[in-house]
Amino acid sequence: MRLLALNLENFRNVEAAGLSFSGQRTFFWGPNGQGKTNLLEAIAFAGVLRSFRFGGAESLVMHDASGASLFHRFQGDDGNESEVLLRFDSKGAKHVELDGERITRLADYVGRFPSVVLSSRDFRLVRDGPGERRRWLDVTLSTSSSAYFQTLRNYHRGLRERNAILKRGGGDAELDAFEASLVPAAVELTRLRREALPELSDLLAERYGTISSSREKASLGYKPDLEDADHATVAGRYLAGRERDRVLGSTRRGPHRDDFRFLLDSRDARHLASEGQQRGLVLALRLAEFSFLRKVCGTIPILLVDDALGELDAERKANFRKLLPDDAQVFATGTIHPAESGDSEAWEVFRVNAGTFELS
Amino acid sequence: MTPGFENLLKGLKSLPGLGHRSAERIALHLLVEKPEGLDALIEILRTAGTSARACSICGNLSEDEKCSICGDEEREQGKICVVERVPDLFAIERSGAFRGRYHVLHGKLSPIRGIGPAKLNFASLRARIEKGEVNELILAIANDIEGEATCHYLSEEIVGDRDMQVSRIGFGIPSGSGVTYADEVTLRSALDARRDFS
Repeated sequence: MRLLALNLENFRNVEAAGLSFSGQRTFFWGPNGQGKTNLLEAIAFAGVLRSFRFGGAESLVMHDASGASLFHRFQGDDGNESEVLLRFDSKGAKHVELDGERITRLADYVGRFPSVVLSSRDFRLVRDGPGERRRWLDVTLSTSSSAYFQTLRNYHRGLRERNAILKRGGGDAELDAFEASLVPAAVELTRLRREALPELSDLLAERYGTISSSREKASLGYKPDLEDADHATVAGRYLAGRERDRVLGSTRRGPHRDDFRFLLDSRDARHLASEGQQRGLVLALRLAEFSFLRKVCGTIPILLVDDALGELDAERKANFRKLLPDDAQVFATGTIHPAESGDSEAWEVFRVNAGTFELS
Repeated sequence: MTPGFENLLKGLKSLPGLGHRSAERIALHLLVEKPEGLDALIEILRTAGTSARACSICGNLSEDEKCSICGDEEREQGKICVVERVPDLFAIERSGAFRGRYHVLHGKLSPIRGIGPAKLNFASLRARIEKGEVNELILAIANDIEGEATCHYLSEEIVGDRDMQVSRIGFGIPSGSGVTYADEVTLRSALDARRDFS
């Protein structure tokens, strides 16, 4: 899949811009804080309809504007073109159109325009708490399967309702009513994660093998919060946790507390691996994500590289370039013009300056 | 703009589904383009507002103590279809597929919106069941999380151990449509709800 054109209006610091892309390699070049990452974010938005960055939806809309819009024109691997129009108002409400038709069921849409983001901040996936890893897993698996997306949504909706009952001090009958649908969603979510992780783990091991010169075997280890997989046991766990949850005002146990670990020769990489190994692991994870999405979505994802090379020396940069899949369209950002950094690839370069873009 | 026009605009905009533009169009229509219809409309609103009430038995829209459906002796007595809202009842009535009676809950359980069992029309349904006038309950409630929980609550807390038939409407492929375009969740529920064919 390729992105042929992108138009932005009142999106973050971009008042109005229309860009078209001719090649497979595009570089957004300029000083920090000018809006390079905003472009990558805008491209990725068409994939999962949410930002890969932190912060509320209100900051997506330019200051003083009532709403923002993004327009993408994609070309599929079969040559057919599709157009995506996204609008958000300052309250974060979204309006999505695909080829002029309004999309009301997001489950029908996710996975159509997949992209993978490589960022210099990715090492947080290894070092930070489980929240970031869970978010990565949920976004990746939601993009790959609408069944996962629906199950995740049902689980979280049920969880919010259960928490509201706990906070209000509602009765057991109400908790029974909501746990009746929360439990099957919890069981299914755990099952889908347990099923998908070995595949992601195998892909990671393969990519890590090509990145790293060392011989350790990399893998991912799933740590479900509720180990027991059957319906009756899980239902019992929620039931038994009610008194504790009432005191806390929220649900303490369940798949919303799941985690997975990065392992090197079965040792936890979070504490034991060197910084170089950790960077290698997250890079391998992103490339594994690329291969996984490519397989399950049936199209070549777009690769978005956000200043990922900033801290690397020339040799590592060259190695990294070799890893970029030839047939994938790549958008990269950086503060140094690729020609100056001795890059031999034929990049189409846009100069980014205070939310404006100019082909250089 | 005059203060009166502005007040009218504000009042119209507070109605569901009306934005600024539609409110403006309606206000102009009422005051400037077709002022001759205004008095009649005011009268209609006043009459509807004073006469409309909820049926004391089922919660349907009514002008009397009993709505026209509860008062219709021709309809099946013991069969009750439970719906979330009055428009759901209208929709089923239009289909002509049901000849029993109704019970309108006026919503579904949603703790996050502060809707607990006490806010729904459960008490009068319980009363109807306790009187022994119900032998079959058909749940025509959405199949989202809140709808599932409402059905579960109904069957556990309101029906309980009573000997009564409780069923839920099927969820599946829309009539006249094919299998290819159905999403995974719909297909799954359609397969779960398959029927013997022979």
